[in-house]
Amino acid sequence: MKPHPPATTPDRSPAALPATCAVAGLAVRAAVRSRLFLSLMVLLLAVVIGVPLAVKGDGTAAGQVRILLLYALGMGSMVLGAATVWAGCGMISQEIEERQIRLLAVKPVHPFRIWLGKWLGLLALDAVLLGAAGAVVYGLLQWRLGAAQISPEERRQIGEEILTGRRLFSPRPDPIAAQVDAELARLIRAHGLPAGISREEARATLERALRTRRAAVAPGRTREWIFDVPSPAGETTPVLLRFRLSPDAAGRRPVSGTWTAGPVGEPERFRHAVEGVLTGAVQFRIPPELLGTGEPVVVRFHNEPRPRSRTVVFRAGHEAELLVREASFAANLVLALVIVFCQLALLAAIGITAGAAFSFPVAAFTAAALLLISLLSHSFIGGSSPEAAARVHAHHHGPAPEPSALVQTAEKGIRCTAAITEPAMQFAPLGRLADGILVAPARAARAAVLLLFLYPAPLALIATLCLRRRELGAT
Amino acid sequence: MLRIRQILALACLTAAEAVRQPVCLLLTLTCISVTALVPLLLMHAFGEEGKLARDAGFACHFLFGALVAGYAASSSLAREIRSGTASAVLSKPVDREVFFLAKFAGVAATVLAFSLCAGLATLLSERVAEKFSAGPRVYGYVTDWQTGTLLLAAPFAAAVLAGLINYRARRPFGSTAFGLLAVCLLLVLFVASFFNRAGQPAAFDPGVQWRIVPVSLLVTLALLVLAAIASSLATRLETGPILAVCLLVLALGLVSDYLIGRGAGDALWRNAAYRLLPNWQHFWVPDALTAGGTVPAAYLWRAGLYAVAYSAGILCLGVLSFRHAEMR
Amino acid sequence: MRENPCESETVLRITDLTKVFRDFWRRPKVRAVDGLNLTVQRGEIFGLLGPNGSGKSTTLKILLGLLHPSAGSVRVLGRSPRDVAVKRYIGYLPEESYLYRYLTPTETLRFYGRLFALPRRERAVRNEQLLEMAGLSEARSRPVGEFSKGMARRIGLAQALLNDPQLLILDEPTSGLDPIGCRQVKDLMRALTRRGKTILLSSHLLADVEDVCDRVAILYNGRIRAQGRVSELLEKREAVSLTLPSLPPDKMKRILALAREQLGRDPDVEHPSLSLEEFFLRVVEEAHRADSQQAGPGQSPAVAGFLREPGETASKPGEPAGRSP
Repeated sequence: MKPHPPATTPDRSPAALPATCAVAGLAVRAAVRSRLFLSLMVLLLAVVIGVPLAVKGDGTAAGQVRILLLYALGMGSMVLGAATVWAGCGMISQEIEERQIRLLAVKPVHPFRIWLGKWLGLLALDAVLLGAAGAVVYGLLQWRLGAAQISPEERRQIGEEILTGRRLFSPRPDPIAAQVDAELARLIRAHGLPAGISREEARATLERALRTRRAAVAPGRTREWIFDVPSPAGETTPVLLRFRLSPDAAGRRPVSGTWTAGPVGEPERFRHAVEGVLTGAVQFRIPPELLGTGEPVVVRFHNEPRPRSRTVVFRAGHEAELLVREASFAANLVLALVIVFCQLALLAAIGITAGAAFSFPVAAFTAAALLLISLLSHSFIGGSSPEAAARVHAHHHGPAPEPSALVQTAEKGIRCTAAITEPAMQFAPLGRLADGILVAPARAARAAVLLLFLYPAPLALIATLCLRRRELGAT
Repeated sequence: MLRIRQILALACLTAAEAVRQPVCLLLTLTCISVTALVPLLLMHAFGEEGKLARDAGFACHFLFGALVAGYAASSSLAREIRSGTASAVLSKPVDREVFFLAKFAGVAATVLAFSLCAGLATLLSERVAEKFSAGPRVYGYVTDWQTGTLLLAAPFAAAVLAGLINYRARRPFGSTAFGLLAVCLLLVLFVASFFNRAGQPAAFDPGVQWRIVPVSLLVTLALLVLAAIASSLATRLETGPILAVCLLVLALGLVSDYLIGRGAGDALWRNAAYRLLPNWQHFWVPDALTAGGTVPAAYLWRAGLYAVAYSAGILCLGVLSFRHAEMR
Repeated sequence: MRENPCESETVLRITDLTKVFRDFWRRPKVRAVDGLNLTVQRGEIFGLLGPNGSGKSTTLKILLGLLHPSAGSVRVLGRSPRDVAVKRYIGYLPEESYLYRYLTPTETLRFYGRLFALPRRERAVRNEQLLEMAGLSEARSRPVGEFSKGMARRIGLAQALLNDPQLLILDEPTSGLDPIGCRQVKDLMRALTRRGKTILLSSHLLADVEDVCDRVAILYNGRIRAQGRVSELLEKREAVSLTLPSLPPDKMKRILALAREQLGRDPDVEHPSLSLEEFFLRVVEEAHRADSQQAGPGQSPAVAGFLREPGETASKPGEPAGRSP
C-alpha cells in the first residue's frame, strides 16, 4: 500500500456558529419555499386589517384605536403564536419522518446545534412577520388619525390617553391587616368559625369585604389616597388621574362629587368636579407641578351630599391611579412587540422540543395540551377556588364530606403548574399598549431573560437528550 | 355492485387507518376526559341544572370532532396522494370518483365512531352534574361522584385494556383503544343505571336526559358536513392548511348570521358568502333543552336534509378536484 | 497529545456487535445483527453483501450513530460513532437520497459544506468540482425534488464527498445510476483508495462489488458467513484457463490435440467476450462523439479535482487515470 498523504480537510474542531447559521438558514428557506411564510403573512395582514372592520366598538375614534391595538394586534399575535407552535412541531419531526435528518445527523453537528438552528430560524421568521404586523398597525393608526372626521378634542384625548407610554402609579396600600385580624378575632369569639371553612379562607373573605366597604363612599363622605410620585420629566408632561367604578355601579348610578389633589401641605390645590353617569375608566388631567414639590401627593374624592346623591363604589384595585407620560407611543409599541416576540420564542421552543420527542401530530397535540393546561391553570388560580367547587352544595345531616382525593390531586397539580408557568405568563404587553400604559424597558428585559433563556434552556436540554437517544435510523 | 364493494373495502381501510393514528385517539380521549372533568371541577350555573355540563359536552364534541374530521381527511387522502399510495390504488381498476367517495365514507365512519363516544360522554356528564336532591340524608345540590369517577376512569381503562391486548395479541394499540372506549362508556352507562345519584343501589334507571341525543345527532350531522369539506380540501392541501381552513369555516359558520347575514340583502358578495358558508347555527341548538325543552323530529329531518344537500355539493367539488389532481 | 484518528491503520473495528429491535414492551422483535466481528483497514474497499434483511444497512447505520447497538462495541477511526467530532472524517451516501426537496444542488452542497465549516472559497471550489463530476452543472438551479432517482443519487454522492472524507460509507452506491454513472462511481472509489481513503460499501449488485472491492463479507441473518479477499474467495483452484490470441487453424488443432492427450477429454474452448457494461460504454462513447447533445447528466470527469491525487489528470469514465508530465 502506498504511503498516504495527509488529510486535506483542516484539522480543527467543528465550528459551531457556521453550522448553527446553516441550519437556521435552511429553516428559513424551507418556510419561504413551502409558501408557509407567504400564507402566514397574508393571513396575518388579513387579521390585522379585517378585525377593525368587523368589530365596531363604541363608535368613537378612541374606541377604534383601542380595537386596532388590542384586538387586531392581539388576534394577529394569537394567529402567529399558533402558527409558530405548529411550524415548530414540524421542523424536526418531519425531517425525522422523511429521513432527511439522517444526512444531517451524520455530519459534525451537535444535536443541540440542530435545535438551536431551527429555533433561531423560526425566530427570524417570527420577527419579520411580527414586525410587518406592527408596521401595518402603525400605518393604519396614522391613516385613521389623519381622517378629517376626528375632532381636535378626540385627537388630543387619543394622544394623551392611548397613543402614549404612561407610567402608572398606584396609591399606598391600605393598612387594613390589623383591622382584619381584629375583626376576625371578634367574629370568632362571638360566633365561632363556620363548619368547613378554614381560618385562612375566613380571613381572606373578611379582607375582601373590608376592602369593598372602604371602596364605597357614601354621600357626604370622603375617600383619600396617598401617592409617592417622582417629578415628571417636563412642565408640560401630561399627568392624568384615572378612576374606575365597580362593574355594577358603572353606567347605572350617577356620580356627583369633587376630586381634589395636592401635596400633603396643600391637599386641595387642585379641584375637579365630576357629574353624571360614568362608564369605564374616567381620566382627567391634573397640573404636573403638583408632582414637583418633593412631597407625597394626596388625592381625595368627596361625594357631594345632594338630594339625588348615591353611594359611589370604586372598583377594587383600580380606585385611583396616577398616570405620568414617560415615553412615546412608537417606543411603547416597539417594546410591546419585543415582549410578544419573546413569547413567540418560548412557543417556538416548546414546539421544536415536542417535535424532537414525538411524531408531528403527537407533538402538535402535546404542545397544544401543555399550553392549554398552563393557560387554564393560570386562570383557575386567578379565579374561584376549586375547593369551593368540590364541596357538595348541600346541607348534610352530619359532618360535611371532605373534597375527594381526585379534587385534591387536581388542585395540587393545578397550583404546581401555575407556579411553574406564572413567571412566563405575567406579561400582557398589548393590554398595556391599548391602555397607553408604559411598557418599561426593564419589563422587556425581564421578558427577554425569562422567555429567551431561562425557559427555553431546559427545553433545549430535553430536545438534545431526545435527539441523542432516539434512533434516527429506525424505519 | 363492484363499485359498492370497492367503496366498502376502501372505506373500511380508511377508517381503520384513521383510528390507528395516535392523534385521533388522543383527541377522542381528551374530549371524553374534558367532558368528564367539567361537572366534577366546576360549579354548576344557578338556575339550570346540568346546563354547564351539557353545553361543555356539546362544545367539546363539536370542536374536537372538527379536528378529528380534518385530521382523518388529511391522513387518509392528502398523505396518500403525497406518498404515492393513491397512485398504487388508482393503477388498479378503481375509478377516481369511487376512490374519493370511499375516502370520504371512511372519514365519515371515523367521525361517527367519535361522535358515539362524545355523545355517551355528554349523556353521562349531564347525569354527574350537580342537581338538587331532597332526601332523608341530604338536602341540596349533589354531584354524582360515583358515575363521575367511572366516567373519568373509562378512557384510562380503555387505554390500559388496549395495552394489554397489544401485549398479548399484538393488535394495534390505537384502533383497539378507540373501539374499547365506546365499549367502556356503554359499560359505565349500564353500571350507573343500577345506582342512584347518591351512589346507593337502586332499581334499573339510567338517569340520563335522553333529549340530549337529538342535539348530539345534530352536532354529528355538522361534523359530517365538515368531514365532506375536509375531504374535498384534502385533494389539494396538506394537513396544516386543511385543519386551519376547517377551523376557520367552523368559526365563520357559527357567526355567519351575525357577521354576514344581517346585511345579506345589501350586497351580492354578502348574499353569496352567506349562502355558501355552512350555517352551523342550524346544528347548534343546546339552548333548545333549556327548561325541559326538546328538539322535534321534524327539525332533525330538515337539518339532516340540509346536511345531505350541502355535503353532496361539497363532495361534487371534491370529485372534480380529485379528477384533475396529478398523482405521484 | 490526542492521536489523530486519520493516522491509525484500522479504520473500523466492530467487536461482537449485536442489534435487537424491540417493540413498545421491550420484547425482542428482530435480531438484525448477531455477534458481528469485523475490521476494515485504511485504504481498502470493503464490501458488505447479503440478501434482504441480512443486517447490512443496520450495521452501516450503527457505524454512523443512527442506531444504537444492543451489545458489543464499535470504533470508527478509534472513536465511538456517536462522537460528533469523528463525523468530520466520514462521508455517507444512504440507500435513498434523503435530500431537501426544495433546495437546488448548489444550495444543497453549500448547506452541507457549512456544516463542515469549510472556508467559503474552498467550499465554492469544491461545489463546482463536485457538480461537474456529478454531471449536474446544467441542473444546478433546479430543485432536487424535480430530479429523477439517478440524478438525486448523484447529488447524494456529491454531498458525501464534500469533506474529502477519510471513510466513505456507501449504501447501494450504484442503485439508480446508468452504466456510465456506475463506471464513474467505481473509478471514483479506486481514485479515493489510491489516496489512502477507505470505503465501506453495501450492495446487491455483485458485479459491481466484484469489480472494485478488495475484501468482502457476506452476511446472512445478521452474521458473517464468509469473509476475505475477493480474489481468494472466488479463485477456483481446481481449474486453469488460458487466453490465447487468434491462431491459424492448424496450430489450433495441434494445441487441442496436446490438451486432449493430457486431459483425456476435449477441453472447453470458447471466445472471450466483452461484458455488457464494456459493450454499452463503447456504444455510448461512439454515439457521444457523433452527437454531443443529450438530456440528463452530461459527460464529466470521473473524479473531482480536490479528490484526485496531486498530479493526477482528469479522465473520462472507463479510462484509467493518467499523470501529468
